[in-house]
Amino acid sequence: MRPPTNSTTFKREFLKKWLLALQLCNNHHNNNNNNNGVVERKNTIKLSAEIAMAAARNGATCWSRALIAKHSSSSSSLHNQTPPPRHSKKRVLRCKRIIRRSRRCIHHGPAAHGPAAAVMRRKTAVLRKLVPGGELMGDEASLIRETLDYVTSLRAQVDVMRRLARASDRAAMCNAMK
Amino acid sequence: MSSRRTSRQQSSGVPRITDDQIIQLVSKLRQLLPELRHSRRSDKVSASKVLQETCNYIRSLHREVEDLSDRLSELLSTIDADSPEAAIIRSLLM
Repeated sequence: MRPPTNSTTFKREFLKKWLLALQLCNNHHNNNNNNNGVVERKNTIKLSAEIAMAAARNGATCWSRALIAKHSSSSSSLHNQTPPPRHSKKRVLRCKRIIRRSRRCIHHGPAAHGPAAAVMRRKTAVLRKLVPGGELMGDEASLIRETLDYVTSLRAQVDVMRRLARASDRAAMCNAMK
Repeated sequence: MSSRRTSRQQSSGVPRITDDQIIQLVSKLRQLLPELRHSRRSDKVSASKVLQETCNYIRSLHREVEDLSDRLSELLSTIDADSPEAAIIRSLLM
């Protein structure tokens, strides 16, 4: 897994892809003469932000590939802007089954039983559900590595969105004062 | 990997991960979490607490994305390509 280059580069990549995706959705809706409600607009923004964040990672992480695979079946207009998913949905399901089966056979170390280990396993299971593609990661170390990357990318995404909201706020205020 | 244990491996080929590696990764995770970063007792935070805080943090980040999407859906809808607002957004790309 390639580490992220740096935060600023990632944010710039994310913003570019996100605005592109938003433009595409905008054109798509204008062409269809849809009068989108606020809810639909919000879902578009959220969805395009999620895809842009995954795409900005350029397929280097499992979570980003899982996100793109998840969305590539549902949104055809955005499909051309993202790198092709390395795993189709069928392969993803097959991988999940194999990993679940192999996890049952894994020889655990001496400390792997008892209440403390059970707590760890429970928390790890929760984490697997939160991180996209988490259920595909066979061992704990990969899961934690992916989690680190995912959290960093999420923070960058939130930072960019926050700045955009602030800038739009200010722009709207300036407009109102004219 | 100097401390890799030579234990029986199943045919699935999943390599054994050492405890040291996990400890290192967990400490890196801890650096990211706002709740635990400033904890003074550096070695006393258990791995399960770190995992718990990580899950909480991810959930709160998801919530923040929701709220920001709400805000932005109201703000961005009124932007058309030639307005000064669009120029601001374009300048954010620099």
